Formats: sequence, C-alpha cells, structure tokens
Amino acid sequence: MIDSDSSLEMFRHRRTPAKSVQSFFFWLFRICTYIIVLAASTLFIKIAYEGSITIFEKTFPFVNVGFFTQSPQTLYVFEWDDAMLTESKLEAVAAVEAEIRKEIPEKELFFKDAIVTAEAQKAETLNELALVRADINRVKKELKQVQRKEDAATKVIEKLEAKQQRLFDRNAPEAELHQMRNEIIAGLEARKAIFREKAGIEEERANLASMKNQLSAQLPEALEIESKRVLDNLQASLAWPEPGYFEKQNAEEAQIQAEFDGKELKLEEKYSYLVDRATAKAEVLFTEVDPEDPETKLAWLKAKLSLKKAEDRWAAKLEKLETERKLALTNARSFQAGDTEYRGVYARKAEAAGVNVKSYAYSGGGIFPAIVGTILLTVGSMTIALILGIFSAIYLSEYAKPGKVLNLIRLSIVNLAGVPSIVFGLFGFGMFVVFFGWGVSLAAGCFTLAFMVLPVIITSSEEAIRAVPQGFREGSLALGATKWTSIRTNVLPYALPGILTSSVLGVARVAGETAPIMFTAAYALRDNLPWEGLDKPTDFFVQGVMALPYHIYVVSSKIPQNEYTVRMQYGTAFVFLLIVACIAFTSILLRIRMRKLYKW
Amino acid sequence: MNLKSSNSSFSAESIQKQGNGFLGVEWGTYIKAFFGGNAFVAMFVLALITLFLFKEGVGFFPQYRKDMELYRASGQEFVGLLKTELDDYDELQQQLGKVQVSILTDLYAEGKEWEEVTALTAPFQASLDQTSSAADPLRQVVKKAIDITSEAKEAVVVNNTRREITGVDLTTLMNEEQSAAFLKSSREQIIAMMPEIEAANDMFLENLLAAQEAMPELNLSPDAKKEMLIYEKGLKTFLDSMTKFDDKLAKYDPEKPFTFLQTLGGFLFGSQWTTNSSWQDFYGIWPLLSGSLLVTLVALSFAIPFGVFAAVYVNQVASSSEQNIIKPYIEFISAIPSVVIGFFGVAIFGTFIRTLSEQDFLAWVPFFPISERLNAYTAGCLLALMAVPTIFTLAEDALNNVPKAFTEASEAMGATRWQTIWRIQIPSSLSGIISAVLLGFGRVIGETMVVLLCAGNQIAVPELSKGLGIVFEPVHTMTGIIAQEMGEVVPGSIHYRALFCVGIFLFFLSLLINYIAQAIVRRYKISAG
Amino acid sequence: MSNESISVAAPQSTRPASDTSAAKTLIEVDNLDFYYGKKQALCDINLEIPEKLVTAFIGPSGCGKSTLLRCFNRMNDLVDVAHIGSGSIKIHGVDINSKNVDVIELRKRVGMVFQKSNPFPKSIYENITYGLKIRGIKKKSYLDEVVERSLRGAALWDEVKDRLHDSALGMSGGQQQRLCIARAIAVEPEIILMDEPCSALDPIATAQIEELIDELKTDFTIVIVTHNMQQATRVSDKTAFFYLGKLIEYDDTARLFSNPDNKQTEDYITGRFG
Ligand SMILES: Nc1ncnc2c1ncn2[C@@H]1O[C@H](COP(=O)(O)OP(=O)(O)OP(=O)(O)O)[C@@H](O)[C@H]1O
Ligand SMILES: [Mg+2]
Repeated sequence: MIDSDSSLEMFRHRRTPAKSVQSFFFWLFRICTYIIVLAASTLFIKIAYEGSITIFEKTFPFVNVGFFTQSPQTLYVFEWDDAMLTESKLEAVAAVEAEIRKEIPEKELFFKDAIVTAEAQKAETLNELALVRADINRVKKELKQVQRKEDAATKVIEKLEAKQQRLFDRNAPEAELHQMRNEIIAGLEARKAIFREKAGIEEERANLASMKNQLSAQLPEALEIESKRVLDNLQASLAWPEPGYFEKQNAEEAQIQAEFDGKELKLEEKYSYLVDRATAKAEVLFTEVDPEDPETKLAWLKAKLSLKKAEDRWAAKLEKLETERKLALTNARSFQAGDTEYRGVYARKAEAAGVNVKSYAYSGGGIFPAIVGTILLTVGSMTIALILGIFSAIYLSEYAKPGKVLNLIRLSIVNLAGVPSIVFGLFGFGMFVVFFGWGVSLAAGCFTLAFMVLPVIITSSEEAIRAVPQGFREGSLALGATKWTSIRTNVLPYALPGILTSSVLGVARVAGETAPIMFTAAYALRDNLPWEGLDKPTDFFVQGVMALPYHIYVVSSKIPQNEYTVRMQYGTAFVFLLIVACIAFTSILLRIRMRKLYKW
Repeated sequence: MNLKSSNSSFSAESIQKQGNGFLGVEWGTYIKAFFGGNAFVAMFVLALITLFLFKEGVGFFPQYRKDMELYRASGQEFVGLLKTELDDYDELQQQLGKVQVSILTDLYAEGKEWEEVTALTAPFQASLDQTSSAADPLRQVVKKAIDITSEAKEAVVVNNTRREITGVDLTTLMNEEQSAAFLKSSREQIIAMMPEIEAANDMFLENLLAAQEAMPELNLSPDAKKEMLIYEKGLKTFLDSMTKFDDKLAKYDPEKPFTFLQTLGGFLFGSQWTTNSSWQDFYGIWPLLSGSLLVTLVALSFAIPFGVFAAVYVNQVASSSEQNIIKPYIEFISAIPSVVIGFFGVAIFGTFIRTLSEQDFLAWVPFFPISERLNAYTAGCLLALMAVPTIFTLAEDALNNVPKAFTEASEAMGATRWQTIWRIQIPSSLSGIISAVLLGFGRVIGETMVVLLCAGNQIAVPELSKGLGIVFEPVHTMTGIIAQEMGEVVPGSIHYRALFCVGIFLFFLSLLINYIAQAIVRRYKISAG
Repeated sequence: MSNESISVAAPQSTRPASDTSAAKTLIEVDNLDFYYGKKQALCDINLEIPEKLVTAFIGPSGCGKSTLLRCFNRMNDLVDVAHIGSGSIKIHGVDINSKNVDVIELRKRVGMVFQKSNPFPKSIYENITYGLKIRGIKKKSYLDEVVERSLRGAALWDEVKDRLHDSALGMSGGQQQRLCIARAIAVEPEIILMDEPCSALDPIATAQIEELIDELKTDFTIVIVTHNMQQATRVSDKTAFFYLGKLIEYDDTARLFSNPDNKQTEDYITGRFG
C-alpha cells in the first residue's frame, strides 16, 4: 500500500527536459506567428496612415472629394516672390487676359463659320464616304480575286516544276526540257505581274482607308467637339488667376509661416526644458557624489543617455515639422490642371506674370477613371467567368460520365488554377490584342481575367456541388422529380453558399491582379471616361481603360518620385487596399455564416 | 385510414413517355446539352490557352536558329570573341580607375591642393594612360572587322526581310545561295585579316606587359590597396584567358552549322538576355531563371518556417479566441493585391533594408552596407509575406486532418503535447505540409508585380563568388521580363516569341509543381478516422 | 396503440395473416441478371410480388437485396456502371426498363424510403409537399390537407403538428425516418420500397414504423428489406431469402420461417449461418 503522501509525491509537477523543450518550441512558434501578424499589420497601418492623409481632410466634408471624382492631372507648383509682383507684371497679365477675351468671340465666330460650312459639306462628305466605302468593298473583292489568281498561278508553276522534274528524271531530250523551262519562266513572269497588280490594289486600299478617316474627321460633329474644347480652355484660363490671387496666396503663406513658427517655438521650449533638466541632473550627480563610485557613474551615464535621446527626439521632431511646413507652403501655391489645358492657356498667363512653374505628372487630380475601369473589368470578367464556370461545374459534377476522361479534365483544371497570372496575360495579349486585333481594350482584359479565374471557379463550385449529400438527390428522384428539378431544388440551393464564397474570392482576385491587364487592357492615363467620346456603341468594349492596380504600378515605378507623387501613391494604394479588403472580408464573413447555417 | 384520394390506376399508358419536350426531344436533354455546351466552351478555352502559348512560342526556335546561323555565318561570332576580350579589358581598366579614385580621395582628404595632387600622381597617371592605350592596335583591327561583319549581316537581313515581304524572287534581291556566298566573302575577308589580328593581339600583350612594368611603386592606403589587389587578381586571370583566347580563335570554325540542340541549349542555358542590341540579340533564359530561383529561395527560407510554425501554433497551442483572430487574419493577408505589396516594397521596405544595412552595429556583416535598395532580398521578403498564408492555410488543414485517435493515443501514454506534435502530428501530416510548401513555391515563382517592382530588374546571372551577399544583388526574373518587355515588342518577332517561350517555361514549371503537390497528397493520404 | 406493439416481441406473427394466395401479382421479375460493371450482383431472379401485401427481402449483407429493390424504381440508373444483363421487371405487366417508359412517371408511382433517413434540409411542411410541388400542385388548402393526411398516415402528426415549419433536421432519427415515409406516401404511390428503414432506430421507433407499415398495407404495396428476422415475421406477408445474388427461397412468411424448404434458409434464419 502506498501512503497518500508518497502518492502525492508521485504526481507532483516536475520540470522534465521534455517540458522545457516543449515550452521552448511553443514560444518559438508563438513568436513566429506574431511576427507574421506584425509584418502584415505594419503594411496595413503604414498604407492606411499615409493614405488617409491624402483622402481625408480636416474640414468639411472631411473627405477629399476631388480624389474620387477627378481624373489624374499634372500638378503645377508656382513659385514667386513679392518683388516680382510689380505693377508691370500685373499689367502684362491683364494684357494677356484682354488678348484671350478678344480671342474668344473670334474663335467662336471661326468655329461657327466652320461648322456651317461643314454642315454644307456634310451631305457631300457623306456621299463621298459612301463612295469610298463602295470602293473599299470593290477593292477588297478585287484583292480576293487577285489572290485567287495568284494561288492558281502558283499552282501552275508548281505543276510545271513537277513536270520538269519528271522530264529530268526521265532524261528527256534537251529541247523538251528547254521548252519546259521557258514555260516555267513565263509562269513566273505572269505571277510577278499578278503580284504587282496586287501591290497596286493594296496601295489603293490603304489610300481609301486614309481617305475614309480624313472624311470622318471632317464631319461637323468632330468640329463641334473640338471647338467646345478650345473655347472651354480659353474660358478656364480667364478664371485664373482671380483678382488678388497672388496677394491672397502670399497672405496665406505668411499665415502658415506664422503657425509653424509658433509650433516650432513651443517645441523648442518644451525640449529645452527637458534638456536643461536632464543636464542639471547629470551635473548634480557628477559633482556632488564620488565620481569613482561605480553606481553613481552608471547613473550618470544613464542620465547622459537620456539627455542624448531627448536631443535626438527633438531634432527628429523639428525635422518633421520642417517638412510639414514645406508641404503646407507648396500646397498653398499649387495648382492642378490637365496637361493639354495647361499647355494651351494657363501657361500664357503664368509666363506673362513671370511665375516659375514646376510640374509633377500624375500628382494632382484623382483616380476616378481608374476606379471606374477596375469596376468595369471586374464586372465584365466575373460575368463571363461565373456563367461559364458555374454551368460547367454543374455539368461536370452532375451530368458528365465519371471515368478516366473526367478525372483527367478535373486534374488539368486544378493544375491550370495554379498557372501564374502573367502567363494568362501573355495568352490574352497574343490572342485578343494581337491575333483578334482588338488592341489594348476592355474586352481583351475582361476575357483574359475571366479565363484566369475560370479554373478556380470551376474547381470550387464543383467542390461545393459535390459536397451536397447524395441522399438529397436520391430522395428527390425517388419522389419522381426529374433530374433537372432535383438539381434545381435539392442541390443548387445547398451548394450556393459555397459557390458564392468562392465567387467573392474570385472577385477579390480579379480586382487585385495587375499582370494580366498590364498589356491587355490598362492605359497609364486616359482623359475620357469609358462612356465618353464613343463613335458607336461597340467602341465601348474596344477601348483601353485605366485600372487601380496598374495606376499604382505606374505612379510608383514609372514616374520620377517626389513628395507630391507620394501622396498620390499612398492614396491610390489605400483606396485599392480598402476595396479589395472589403471584398475579401465579405467572403470570409460569408463563409463563417454559411458554415453555421448549412450543416448536414 | 384511407391514404389515397384518387385511385389512379397503374397502367402501361400512365408510365409511358409523354410528348413533353420540344421537337420530340425531352427537356432534360436540352438542359443537359446547355450545361454540356457551357462545359465544352470552358474546356475548349482552357485547352486553347495551352495551344495558343505553343503556337506562338514554338516558332521561336527555328527563328532563333536562323538568327544564330546568320550570326555565325557573317563572321560576327568570331569577331564577337575578340569583342569580349576587349570588353573584359575595359572592365579591368575600370577597376584601375577605382584605384585612382581611391588614391585621389586619400590625397584630398589629407588636405592637399589640386596642383600638388596632380604632381604627386603624375607617374601613376602616365602608366594608366599607357595601360589604356595598350589595346589600341587591337581595337582598331577589331573595329574594322566589326564594321565588315555587321555590314554583311545587315545587308542580308534587309535582303531577307524584303524577300519575305514581297514573296517573290525579284532579280534585284539575292536568293539563298547568293546571300550565302555574300556572307562567305565577308567571312573570308575576316579570315584574311587573321595575321593582322594575331599581330595586333601580340602587340596588345606586349604593350600590356610593358605598361605593367612601368607601373610606379605606390604607397597606398588600405582602401586603395584593396582595390589594387582586386585589379591585380583580375589582370592575372585576364592574362591567363588571353592565351586561351588564342586557342579559341585558332579552333574556331565558322562553317559549322548551328544545330537545333544548340539553339535549345542557347535558350535554356544561355547566360545572356540581350535585346534590341546593335550587335546581336541573345535570348538565354538562365539569368532570368537564376534570378527567379534566387528570389524564391529567399522567400521560401522565410515563408516555410514562419508558415509552418504559425500553423502548428494556431492549430495546437493557441487558445481558441487567439485562433479565431489569427486564422482569418493570416488568410486575409493572401487577399492583399500583389501590386500593393510591391508598392510597399518600393516605398518603404527597400529603403528600410538599406538604412538598416548602413547602421554601425551591423558593420561586421561582410556585404553590408548594401548599395541597391531594390534587390533579390527585398523582393524575397515581400514574397514571403505572400507565400505565408498559402503555406499556413494548407499546413493547418493538413494538421487538422490528422485523426484525433492518433493524438489521443499518444497523449494517453504520457507524451507531452510537443512530443505528440513532433512525433505524431507532424509526421502524419508531412505530406500535406510538403505539398503546402510546393504550392507556396509555385505561388512565389509565378508572382509578377512584386518582383517587377522590387527585384531591381538587372539582367545578370548572380555571381556565386559573392557568397551570401548575392541575395542583395538586383536581379531580373522570368515573370518580370515578360511584364516589362511584352508591351514593347513587335508581334511575331523573335523577341515576342522568346517571351512566349519564357511563358511556356513558367507554365510547365507551375504545372509540374502543382502536379507533384497533388500527387504527394494523394499518395500519402492517411484515412481520417 | 403503440403500447401494444412494444409488448409484441415474440418471433411469431401475432396478427392474422393476410390471404396471400388470393392477391393479384403486381411486380413480376423474370430471369433477371444484374451487373455492376463486370461484377454480377443478381443472377437469374424470378419473383412475383403480390399487390397490397408486405413482401420482405432478407439475406446476408451484400447479397443484392438493395440492388433488386432499387431496380423496381430504377434508382440504379444513377449508378453509372450498373446495367441489366438479361430478364425483365414488369409492373402491372409493363416492362419498366423498356425504352418508352418514363422513369420519372415510374418513380412517381413507385416511392422509396432509404436506409439512412434523408430529409431535405427544409421545413417539415416543405419536405412533405416537395413531391407535390414538383408536380406543379400549388393550391395551399390541398397541400395542407395532404400534409396532415400523410403525417397522420406516418403516425407523426401529433408529434409535429405544432412545428410544421421548423427544420426537419431538428427531429429525432425515428421521426426523420417517419417523415421520409410520410414524404413518400404524400404523392400517393402505388408501391413503397423500404430499404432497411429501421436499421438506425431504437426499439420504440422501430415498433412505430412497423405498426405504420401494417396500416399502410391497406393502401399500398410494400417491399421491405430487413436484417431483422423478427421484423420480417412481424410485418411481412411474404418473404424472399437471397444469398450471393440468388433468390434461394420465396414463400409466405409464416411458412418460410416455420418450415423452410432450403437448408441455407434454415441456417440463416436460425442464426447458424456462416
Ligand atoms: N454502386 C455499386 N457499384 C459496384 N458494386 C456495387 C454497387 N452497389 C452495390 N454493389 C455490389 O453489389 C452487391 C450487392 O449489393 P447490395 O447493396 O444490393 O447488397 P445488400 O444485400 O443490400 O447488402 P446490405 O444488407 O449490406 O445492404 C454487393 O456485392 C456490392 O458490393
Ligand atoms: Mg442494402
């Protein structure tokens, strides 16, 4: 019998080596996990912090509305000093303004006339256009005929050559061979003639095509658009600078200066107090107590260290304040405009005023077209991918005959899901952009993205469908439901949550990808919104669009870096991250909810 | 109890097929056909992708072969050997230049004035000039040879292009034989220059040795001495290789045809990817592949331990509230668009790494401070962040699938949790973990934007001689090159096709990785009880 | 009435045997061979199942009982490798495998209850009306009526009448199985096939279902697969014994259990098998 004391002894907690190893490893794993979390959080927080500076404002409406509603623009920063604002300079500006004012009616008149003439010419032009079109058709037909002729000639030559070879093989007499050769040469000549004819026709076709373009450009609609643009530009330049602009900006600047001076002073006071105190403490330590005593020495060193730290922190704060001041000042003097507008009009006034202008591409305006483009691409590609993907999944899991072939198909789909997106981009470029000749276009991008997510959608939808218990199908079939009815009522409703989750993830992936659209759909900059300036409805699909991910790529690597671009970069990245995160978050929430709802 | 309301009789007619359908075919058939049609389109499209990649890519090899044949036949390849020699020499000269810079900085640092410095370094300057002019005779000859061969090649290329466009044997154009003869004449011209070249080469060697003799005795600071040592070492290898060069020149046979195997080898193992060059374009995938592998290596060396450890932690150690937060959070990381991560690298992480390497307390690390902020290491670290969720999720799943009975049995015998994890759980989920790692590998090597933005985009095979420092070299990758150059190529050109070939390579690589990963899972699947 | 059934535990049938000889033949199986791929599951089965009686299939596991049962409403069509080698199955003299038989119509008339209860994850009400809804019947009053009638028929009405719109998955196993029966009888089939309907149930639920079968007999023809000898004797009028895909013996239940012709049968029912 063991008495209770010794049995207690037996089960006492002990430190064994195994337990130490365990706690070591568990701590290692814990640290690793938290490093991952920390790294990701750093990324989120940094981008969110810098991004909010761009997209939020201190005053009503608290959001930088322009950032979400404008196109990217060049940022112009003016520099001037007070000495420059002489009467004569201002007069020069006024003179330019008068000039512009005079120009407006002139231009108006000019365009009116032009439009009237153009209207008159329109009927004629249209007529011509019709003729040209007819000509083009005729030429195309001719070309085909000639092509056929050429093919025929080539065949004849081939036949003749074959015959010659045969003769040659038979050691036929010299004369016969000679004649044969003459015939071949004649054939070649004939083909050459055909070729020349063909070249002529091709040329004619090219001429006609350019003629057609010219004629289209002459139509009054084109003229009207052009005139509106020119007149708008002129008007806009009249609005700037409004009277007293420079004075006002100067005042604002002075105010900013004063504000920052105040801040700096406060900072200085605070830190000098701290520094003084620390110094005093250190001195007291050093003078009053035995300097040889190691403990005092340590205390003294500590004091000194803290002093240095305080100084460092102070310097850093001052530096930060200085950059903020610089930014605030330049913001007071900045001005945003699209390139074309600027070159045309504002430049004249700026020059007259003798203002120094620095331009920063992509640093002004907003990202509206990029947001629109991303939405269009996502919606377009997901429509294609979901229709094809879900229906295919239904077929593969419900209708297709199981066997080797089906397994092979499944295997290849699963494998395709892992192919790098850039390879899909390559395919899209070769197929849609080059081979089909769609050019860099919305349609090409949508199809490329759709095919990229197609394998993912098929695989996960199939998985969701196959996860529905077989009993649901059998139960319904045994009641006399048709196959389709039982799929519709007893399979799809239960597979839907799974399908939905994977689709939402697909949306996040499509919206987030850059590589496949880089050379299939994305433009670095496009002034028109997708629905503007279309000749015919189909043009909508064959135009390139801006897209958020590509925009981030462009502003972060393709243009010179400076403090203005940085604002644009972080703003875009933050908005983009926010959008994608929302989608992904939806998907995760959806999955958790659905798991709870549907359990069988 | 009467459970039947009506007494519908069961008869032959009642279960007969009724004409319910369209055109004598049942609705079910149409529905099936509809889904089948969709499935067909999807499969067709997916097959098309593969076919299309091939269609565009395969044409590369004959085209490249022709190109290389021309390169050889025109004698350019031969002249190229000489050109490399001169290029090597130029590089050596640059090293000497570094020595000079180092000397000058030292002198100025001592507070000497310009005149004084000039006077002090005059002998060194003289020998420097002598060294640099040593190669002049060879340069002249080679320049002549370059002109001849380039002209010949150019003429043939123009001729061939014109012939291709017109499609007819115009008398004004050369036919195959004529152009071959034309090239031959150019080649012969070069061969005729052979004695001249050899003489020039000998002279070069003589001059070089003479210049070396004339190099004044210098008392150098440690920094300058280091540079000088590098120079001397470089010079020695150069002199060695020069003798080998003679052999190479002598053995060289321009008539040898360029085989298909050589073309394939040139693509797979060629160490140069040069495009739009005025001399000759080379499409060797090796620098890109090695860059990709280097970046992947860095990424995985972080992602594997972190991903797997985190999986074990979350699955085995963490409390359930911790689990509920960390798991979705890490899964959430995988939704961060790659371009945002790349941007983070360009904007913050690259600079951070460089600043870190410049810190005093890290000065002992041999390759610090690093010179480029965008390099394989920067890209690798960020890619690790992308690969971690993949590895984490799959490894966690694998751990989850280990039957509870195993762990219970182990713990019932008094094993600690860690022992159970280490001896039972990890071995039984190893196949899952390995396939997770493989899929992470696939994700990393196929990633484009991060490497395009952060890897530095320098096309060069990383030099192993740098030791671990190679991870701080800027590199270019397969995905990066496609993204960078695809927008600017002429469709159908050899460059375009070369990029497709890189794409095909990537395609197969990822298929292979995926396939292996799946095979491992399937083969070692333990039945979950 | 359930108390009564529970007390019945004797192997002998305690209820008056139906007159089996007078019943009309409903299902007629002639020389049926059935294959899963190359593997033969049924071989040369000849069987006549009478109308409005309960027929039980017994036999050791894997002998093909379920296979034959599933042939009656062609559920085997769902198994890709399954096919009939030769022979025919006739119901009311109609060969159900012939080309112009609509399998959907067939299944509307030949209902099935599965071994594992498989209610749809919908409400009880929706489960029962499912079969009617897919026939296009939408009238609420009629549906209500059918729901009550079938639930009463399946002896479930009193237990669930207050929660008709709750999820069917919230019921007990026995209730779920009875719901499946109710679902089957709601569409008024002629024949109900039951594949081990009680295998997952406790004795009380089993007894309830057995009683139910007894009642259903007046309106439906029932074929039931069971591993429980007592159950077979309790509920069935006729019994067929299968072994290794062959029909060994088929007779009135009372006779088969008291005086089997075949040695194998005897061994099996007395538990001396194997
Ligand atoms: N889907 C199938 N594919 C291939 N073989 C099958 C399939 N279903 C059943 N079998 C085989 O057919 C034979 C008969 O099976 P069946 O299910 O009819 O047996 P059972 O008598 O119902 O057995 P139990 O009493 O265990 O339910 C068995 O050997 C079985 O392995
Ligand atoms: Mg069975």
